[in-house]
Amino acid sequence: MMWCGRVVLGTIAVVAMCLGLSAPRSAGIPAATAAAGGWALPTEPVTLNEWDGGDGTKSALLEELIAQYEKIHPNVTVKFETDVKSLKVAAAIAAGTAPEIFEASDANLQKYIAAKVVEPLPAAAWGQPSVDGVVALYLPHVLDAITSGHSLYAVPDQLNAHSLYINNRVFRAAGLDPVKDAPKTWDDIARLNKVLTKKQGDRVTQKGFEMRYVCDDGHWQAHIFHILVYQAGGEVIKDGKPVFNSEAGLRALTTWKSLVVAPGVTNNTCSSPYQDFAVEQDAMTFAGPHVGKIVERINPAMQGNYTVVPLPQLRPDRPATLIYSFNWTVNARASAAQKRVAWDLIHFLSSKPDLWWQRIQFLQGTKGWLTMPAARNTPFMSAFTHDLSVGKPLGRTTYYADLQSIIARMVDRVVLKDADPKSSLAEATDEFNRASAK
Amino acid sequence: MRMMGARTTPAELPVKPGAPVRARAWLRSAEARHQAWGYLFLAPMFVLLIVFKFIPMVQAFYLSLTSYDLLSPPKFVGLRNFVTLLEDPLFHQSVRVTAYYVFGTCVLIWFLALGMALIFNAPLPAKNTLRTIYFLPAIVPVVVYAIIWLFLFHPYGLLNVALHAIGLPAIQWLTDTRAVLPGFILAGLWRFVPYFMIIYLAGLQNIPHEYYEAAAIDGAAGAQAFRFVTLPLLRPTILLVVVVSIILMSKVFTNVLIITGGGPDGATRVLSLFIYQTGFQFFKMGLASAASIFLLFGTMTFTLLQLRLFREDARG
Repeated sequence: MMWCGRVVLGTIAVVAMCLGLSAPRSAGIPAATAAAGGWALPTEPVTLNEWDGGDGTKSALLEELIAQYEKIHPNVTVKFETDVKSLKVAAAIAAGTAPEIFEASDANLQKYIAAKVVEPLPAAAWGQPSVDGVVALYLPHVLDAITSGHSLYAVPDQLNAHSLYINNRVFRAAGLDPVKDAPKTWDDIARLNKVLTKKQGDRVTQKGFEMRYVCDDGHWQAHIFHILVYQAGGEVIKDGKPVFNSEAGLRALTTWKSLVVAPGVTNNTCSSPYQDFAVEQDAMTFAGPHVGKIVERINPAMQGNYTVVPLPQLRPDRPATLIYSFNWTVNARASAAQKRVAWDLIHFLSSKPDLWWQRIQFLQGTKGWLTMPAARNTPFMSAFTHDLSVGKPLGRTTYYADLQSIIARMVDRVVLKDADPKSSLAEATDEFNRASAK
Repeated sequence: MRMMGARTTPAELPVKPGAPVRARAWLRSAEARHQAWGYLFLAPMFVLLIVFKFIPMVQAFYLSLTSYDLLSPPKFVGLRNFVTLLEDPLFHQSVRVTAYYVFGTCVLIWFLALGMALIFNAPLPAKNTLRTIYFLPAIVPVVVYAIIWLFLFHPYGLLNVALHAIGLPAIQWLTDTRAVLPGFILAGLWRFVPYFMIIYLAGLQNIPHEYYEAAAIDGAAGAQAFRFVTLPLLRPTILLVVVVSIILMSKVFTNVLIITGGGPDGATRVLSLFIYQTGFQFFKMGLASAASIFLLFGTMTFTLLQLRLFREDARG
């Protein structure tokens, strides 16, 4: 049920407009939000620690909101720390020193849920009689990956689906229109690569499109592999077992290979993965809604110099992409009072989607945001909502970290070593089975 | 009359019947006070060693016998982690990669560092300035070192420009699985040859000049002096360089993590990185601890082997 079905944009818009009216928490919420009705907060002094994995842009907004919350609740002190890696969170959990609130990706969360280190979300903190009520506040399926059984374990501070970013100048220089000539399929991308890739002698000076191969954990490769497999009609993981060694997996790898230009010619790094697009070496890239601001920060000349269109598909009649999130979670070891305040703070932070969108283009997936003026006036909103509407969550497994590393190696074999995709898929399946048996 | 600084030994103490009495007397002695001061001065180092080395080592050994995901309490599994490692092709690959890197780097370091030390030991103009410049890579912070080489390894980086200049084809240093490890060995030499050159240089400068004068009188000069004077007297330094270089190279981690993250296709996933990924990315701390015990015993075995070889050589 969590996995099935894709919701088309029209459905989302209609449902969102209907529910948006009945969900005032999502839009235009006043700064001084009190605790949801029936959610009693302690009156004694409470200190919370919150760790966030975000960058400077995000932490500025978070600090501002936390200060607002502390003003409303003078008995609450929040010690905020930013740029915290998931490795530090894991080590702190092991040492029993994890903060009361920490950010976890949907990929890591399955492990935390299985180990019972995160607390199930209490619906009452959202003023809802049950978890279904909280789930109903969000767009369909966006909470699937952070739900287990009938419990919801977090809400997203950032939700993404990848769309296609196009450099207007480079397109126009090649005689192309960024909107009319925007690629709709991966075959279109492969064709455009021939037009947009430029060389000076043997030296590649400009590329059309290139996948990202940065980050030692392999998460970019895992994202794109998921997308291509979904688009080919397959699954990556089903009931915790690997099912990507299939026709869909094969199609995903062969498609991937058809798009390779020069993987080594890159200045992307794990901490700056959009560098090649930002400095106009790559004419196209895949990214979520928040990336426009990052690209503009790297290269101010990119302001107004890009167009966002829906992510290319294998079969445009059966579109699919990936939704993934970073989420606020509460430590199960926190005291009862801390948990109460922690959930209330998360409710407070997550009830301002307009602010998050306006300030840093972080999308939290609540239904109401689509109807907000800030959202309606956002350029390329139709592309973002389209990709979100056809998004499916990552393969659900407590061995996701192993999985993404295995996928990255499989892609390396096919792309860089020219290995046979079929045998690479089989090898990767064996590796996953071994990893999950350890 | 007792000389100042001479220590009282227990034998010199008046013998009294009864052990506790003797012990109390000894505790009051100058010998005991002297030893106590010694231990007091050593105590901070002992505490650091115990807290940050021995306890974690014992703990790692204990964890290697457990299944532990960092998030829930460890469960005892006996030797299962070691068996899993022995059957794991990825672990085998990591061992091969580490061995390739360690020996590829160390053997070249031993000879190149010695060669450079001999050059810098010879009378050269502006010798001290040249030595300082040459030593700079050894003191560059490891992250900076990794980033410098990330740029050098770029398809259009300085390395390929140099290859192009001498008419050789460009190498895909970071995406070709055959080229990436030799690239790391090259980077390792850039950083560590100067470091070990300084150690050799210290050893060379410790050899008394009289030996060379005596050898010269006997008609030995140049290569013969090097073979019969320099090399035998440099043996303790060589042993130090061999042991330390193997230990240092087998711990390689940060630059690999920054430059390739172990890729492509695991071609640079050295054991330290395997341990890090297994423990902190895949949450298999028991398995990671077993791999770290393997690395510890591997390094120890090589070190003991070298000590023994050099000792026998010395006797012979």
